[in-house]
Amino acid sequence: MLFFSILLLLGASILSSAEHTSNWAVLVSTSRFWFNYRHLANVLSLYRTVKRLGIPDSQIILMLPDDMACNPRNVFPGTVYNNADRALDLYGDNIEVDYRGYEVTVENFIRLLTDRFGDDVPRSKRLLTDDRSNILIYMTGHGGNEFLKFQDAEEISAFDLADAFAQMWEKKRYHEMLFMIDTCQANTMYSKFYSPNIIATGSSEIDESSYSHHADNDVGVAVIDRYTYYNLEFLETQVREQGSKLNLGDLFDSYDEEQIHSRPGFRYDLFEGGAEAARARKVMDFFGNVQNVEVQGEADAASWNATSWKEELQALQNLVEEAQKRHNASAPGPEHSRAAADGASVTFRGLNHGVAAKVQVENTWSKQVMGATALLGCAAVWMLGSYFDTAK
Amino acid sequence: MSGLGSALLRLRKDDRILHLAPLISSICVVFGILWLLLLPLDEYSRNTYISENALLPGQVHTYFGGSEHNVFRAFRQEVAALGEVSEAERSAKLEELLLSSGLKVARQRYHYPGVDGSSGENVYAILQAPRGDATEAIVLIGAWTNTDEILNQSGVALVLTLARYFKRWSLWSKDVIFLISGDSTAGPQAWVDAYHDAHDHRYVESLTLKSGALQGAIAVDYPAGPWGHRFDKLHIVYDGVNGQLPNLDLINTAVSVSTGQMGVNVAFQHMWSHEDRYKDRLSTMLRGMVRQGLGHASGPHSAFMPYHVDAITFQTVGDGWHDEMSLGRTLESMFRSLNNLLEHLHQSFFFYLLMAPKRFVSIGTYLPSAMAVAGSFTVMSFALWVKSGRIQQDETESKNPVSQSEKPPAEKTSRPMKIDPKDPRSVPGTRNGTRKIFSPLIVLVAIHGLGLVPLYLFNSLEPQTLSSAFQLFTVITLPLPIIVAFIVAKIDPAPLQTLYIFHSVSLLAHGMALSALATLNFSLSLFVGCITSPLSFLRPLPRHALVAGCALTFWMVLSPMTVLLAGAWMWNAEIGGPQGIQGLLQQAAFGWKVHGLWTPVVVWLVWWPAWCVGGVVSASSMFLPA
Amino acid sequence: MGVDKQTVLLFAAAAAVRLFLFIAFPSLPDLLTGRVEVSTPITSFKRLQEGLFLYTHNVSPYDGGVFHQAPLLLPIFALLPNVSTHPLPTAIVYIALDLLGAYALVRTAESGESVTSRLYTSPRKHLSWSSAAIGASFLLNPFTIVTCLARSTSAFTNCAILFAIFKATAGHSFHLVLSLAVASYTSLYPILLAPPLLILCYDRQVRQAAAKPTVPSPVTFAIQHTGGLVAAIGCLLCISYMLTGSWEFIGSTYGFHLLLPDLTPNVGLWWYFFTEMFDSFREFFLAVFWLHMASYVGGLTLRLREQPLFAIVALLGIFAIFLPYPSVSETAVFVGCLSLYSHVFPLMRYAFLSSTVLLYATFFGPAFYHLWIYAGSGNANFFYAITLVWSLALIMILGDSLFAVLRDEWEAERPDMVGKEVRQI
Repeated sequence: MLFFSILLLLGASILSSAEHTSNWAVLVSTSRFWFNYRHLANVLSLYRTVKRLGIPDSQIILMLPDDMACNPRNVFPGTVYNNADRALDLYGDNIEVDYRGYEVTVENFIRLLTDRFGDDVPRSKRLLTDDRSNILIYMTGHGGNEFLKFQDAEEISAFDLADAFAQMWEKKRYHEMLFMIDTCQANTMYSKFYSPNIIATGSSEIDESSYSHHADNDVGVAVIDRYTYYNLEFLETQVREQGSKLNLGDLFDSYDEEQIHSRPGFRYDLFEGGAEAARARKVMDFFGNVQNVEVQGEADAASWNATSWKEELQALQNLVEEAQKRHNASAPGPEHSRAAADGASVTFRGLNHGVAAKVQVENTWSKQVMGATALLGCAAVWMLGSYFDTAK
Repeated sequence: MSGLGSALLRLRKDDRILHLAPLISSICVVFGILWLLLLPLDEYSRNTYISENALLPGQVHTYFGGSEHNVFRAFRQEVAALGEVSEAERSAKLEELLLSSGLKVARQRYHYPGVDGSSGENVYAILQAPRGDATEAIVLIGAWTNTDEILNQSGVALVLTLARYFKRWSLWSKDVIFLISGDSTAGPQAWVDAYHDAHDHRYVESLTLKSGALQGAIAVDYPAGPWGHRFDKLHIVYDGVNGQLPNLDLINTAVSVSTGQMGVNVAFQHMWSHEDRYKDRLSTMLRGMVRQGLGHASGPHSAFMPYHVDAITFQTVGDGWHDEMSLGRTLESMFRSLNNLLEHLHQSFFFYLLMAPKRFVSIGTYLPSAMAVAGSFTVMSFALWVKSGRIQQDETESKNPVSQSEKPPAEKTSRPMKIDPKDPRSVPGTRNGTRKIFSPLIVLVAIHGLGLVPLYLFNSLEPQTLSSAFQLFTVITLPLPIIVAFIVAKIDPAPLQTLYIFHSVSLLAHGMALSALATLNFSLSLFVGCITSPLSFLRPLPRHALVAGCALTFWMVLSPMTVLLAGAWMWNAEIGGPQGIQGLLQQAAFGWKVHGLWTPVVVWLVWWPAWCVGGVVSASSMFLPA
Repeated sequence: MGVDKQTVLLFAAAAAVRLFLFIAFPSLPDLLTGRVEVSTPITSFKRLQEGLFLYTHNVSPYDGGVFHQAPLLLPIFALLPNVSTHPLPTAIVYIALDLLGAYALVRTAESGESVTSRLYTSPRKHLSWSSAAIGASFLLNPFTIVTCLARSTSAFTNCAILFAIFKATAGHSFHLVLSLAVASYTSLYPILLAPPLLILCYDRQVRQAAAKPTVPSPVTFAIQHTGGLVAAIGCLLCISYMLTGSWEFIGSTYGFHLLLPDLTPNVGLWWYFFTEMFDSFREFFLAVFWLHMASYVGGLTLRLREQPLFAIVALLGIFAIFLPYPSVSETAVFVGCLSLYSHVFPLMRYAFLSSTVLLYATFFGPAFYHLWIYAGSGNANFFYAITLVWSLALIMILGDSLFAVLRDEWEAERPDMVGKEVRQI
């Protein structure tokens, strides 16, 4: 009966065409230092946007490599602004940063994507997606031709990223993915992807830089990048409520190269159905947290009856009891820990081995006598030698 | 490869090398000088640019204004009143003013013995960054008297005002130190030495209060009196001790902030009018090179360079309409930029020549000229070495005329050659046997050692006796090479060869010293190289006593002593420096004792010995047998 | 004794110069001890003082990871008064070491081994310098003076090597074995000089043997002497064990030479290479570098079988270039021993050029080091470039002198080629 129900579910999933059941966002800034303020402002802006559109903190992974709000150079301590009018404090008092400071590394990022973690990593630092999760991945920082610089010390290459996404697909960790990147030569970063169901967009072509939008003359730095600024403008002015039906095509069409000062790029070929299907996806499919409710229809009523339901329940209960028995049987006893305590004492022999020796001025005479003996001994051996040599 | 090697070695035997070498050498010197003249052109120089991304110059609003102006005026009156009081009272008052701003204050006494006007007291205050971690610091300096010995009234007042003003901001990531030094040269040196624990405890007091590692320093020189004086431009002085320069980014930031954000024009190297023509650029570059070559302290900032702390001085010049608030805002913006730094400035150049506020050349472009000039000596040295080998053959032939008729050409015989101990020509491998280098080397080392005498003398004598000591020294050393030449000509068995070897090794050492110096102080190396370049063309010419006489006269004109006299005269005539050679030597002694100046070392231990050797070589023409 | 008036004068002058420098410039020794070209982590006097302090205070001198010199130096230096208050006795010890080494060199020169070995006599033997001049090339060499002033412990090694050479040319096996043992004990590398030294000693003993039966057989000779060497080194190691109480000193001294844990800049080629080395390749490259240096021993000894003294001199040059922690003292002893072969100097093709390059490197080194460390406007590449030039100069000198000696040998069989230009193929 269990087997039958599984078949049922499978059938249902094939029939229902590509509906996702959860939305996740991975928002990564990769640069540190005060003059990269705008990268953190970029990410925090996106964070606010996806929160506004409904994705809860438990489904957002926010990576901030530096602390701009509490940087001593910040004239407005505790705040991060993305606009010179300083109308909105992005930092506020309700943000949850999952990876902070030096935890934002290439290794941690790839582990996050592929979920290769030890058991001790908390849930807040993990991307707990399944094959029905839509993921928005946004990255910003300093990049180049097929690489992205992490924290001024290392790089992630486009190939690494593509492989990580491929692993995600193999492990059925995403349903559809929107990859956005705002760096110099950003479009090269998604050029190597090869796993399906990814829509990718970047801020500039190869050999093109991405520019900042404007600076705040009191904070003293640029506060937002152009590409992100125009994305936000669309999202803030047009995608106002959770029921918005605007799709990605509208978003992408709103980009004006003259204003962004670089050529944004798009990649649809990995998506099932190509550009048409990709552009038809709603913005809320990635930026918001809306799921379509699926009602189990009459079509399946024939095979569904009370008995099979009860049997399934019974099977589940058996499974649970079995698991509990196994757990109780294998719990280790408390005796193990005591054994390690023995054998800690190691006896040391010899002069000053590993034991802290007391520094004291010994009677230096003994050392000097030893020295004199050594010298005299050497001299004596030398004399002996000359006797042997000249005796030949 | 081996074919090339043996071809080169065959070339060595060719006589043409000896005629070619002086030509190559002179081409090198001419190339070096011409190259320098080409640098101001657009094709060889570059526009300046900010390399360090963190600096973000001119991107902040500056709020120094309004009521701060009244505070400034009050401080300026206070400073003016302190102009007549004793040093102790003055320091006490300054300390009180800084304490009232809420800063930690300390004092430091210094006294360099035997040097005029180099004792005094530094007063400094530390603003601890409220949110910073005190591991780094930046310095604002207002010397009590500027380099012209005028009271730096508005400058000190501005420092006091800014101290009070900066204390109100919480955005400092590094500590800010406000230093009011006793004067513009010895005071900052004493302070920086003590800050890095490198001071002489007998002369300089240790500092009781310190902060983190210094990242940058800016000095203000604004000698306007109590009623103010509006200035026209800011003169940025950036030369450090021994020709070391700050990172170009600091100067670029200063130019960007002044001209871009504040609208105040800047000037370099005392060029009050600069229209970016070739003449102006060349003039700026050459003046910069003169300052760099002399290596003296040109402002309070100079003392910081040897400690790898980038520093500049802002001097107000001219009559215009910019006032102290513009200067204050400029400083505020500069300090905000320095505040943004995360590490020492290292992205931009440390070796450069500025030709205009926004044009420069970097070391890669200008170094070939100094290296060419230094290389000319090495080329001549090689040629003289080869020639010295040929000389011996001629000399031994002239001493053993009997063997003339029996001379078997070494390459053409088929008989096995027996090596005859008495006949040097029979020793194969060279045409001439081994050179005797011991005596030339010893004489050369002795002459270089003698250079220690003027170095020690002129740095330790009383100022009054300096002039007469200099005259005495000149009188003694002018005949010295002639005497040495006489001795060599009479005593040495092979005088001509000895002289050639002597000259060769001296030129080699000279070229080597100049090339090493070019990496440290390009201008000094180029200057000394150019002045001494005729030395490589002097020769012992046995039959031409008249030519020798002319060469000797020319040689006397080029002596370090003559050049020093000319320099002192020009300094007095043009810039109004102290009278005569005494003033010059006094300044040199001051630099040696206080700043650790190397220029006297180069003059007496590199230039003067090379010049002596040139004299020996020319004078020997008079004594060598025809 | 056999030393003539000129030599005595030379020794007095050299001692006077060194004493003068020690006394007139009291801060000069400390300045030189801090210079990387003169003091390396295995020869630095400062580290010796550190070890000495620990030793006299009942702590193992190798505990701090600072001291890496041989243990027997410690009781010897414990006899001397504190160097900061009484610098003169230490200075006198080092001057004495220099003079002893020069004495050994002078006696080696007098033995005429460089011009007349057992199997070969140079046609140019009359051109060789006087023994005083050869001593002067070692004693008055600026590198030697600087090493003495800096009180580097390589002075001990140099003295021992020179004595080993002297005793080998004199045929005194016992002293040879003792000197070589002391040299290897203080710095690991002189053990590589054993093969040519033994051949040299054997040659001399054969020459000295009055009649055939007393001539030792090569095999027994080799076995005896190798055994003696092993025994002597073993004795020294045992004494060290008794002094320090454990065998850990081997790891801190010889292990330090072999494993290169400290990458302080010096005039050698290893440090820069190993700063960029990935850890997984480290052991491999260490082995390669050591094997490379050791590989010259076999080749040079075999090829220069007839002039084993030159094999030793050439090996000293190799060591000056390829040691893990070389300094100017190895160059000093190389140049000093090279003057033994002054009779082939006319055959060298570019002696002036290589000396010039060496001189340039000597001056540029401190300038670029200053730019790197103090002025902050240069970086490690500057200094490493100059050390490469320095090594190049030494290689040129070595190669040229090797060419000269081989050509000299060749001309002994082909006298018709004397004075003719040859092309090396």
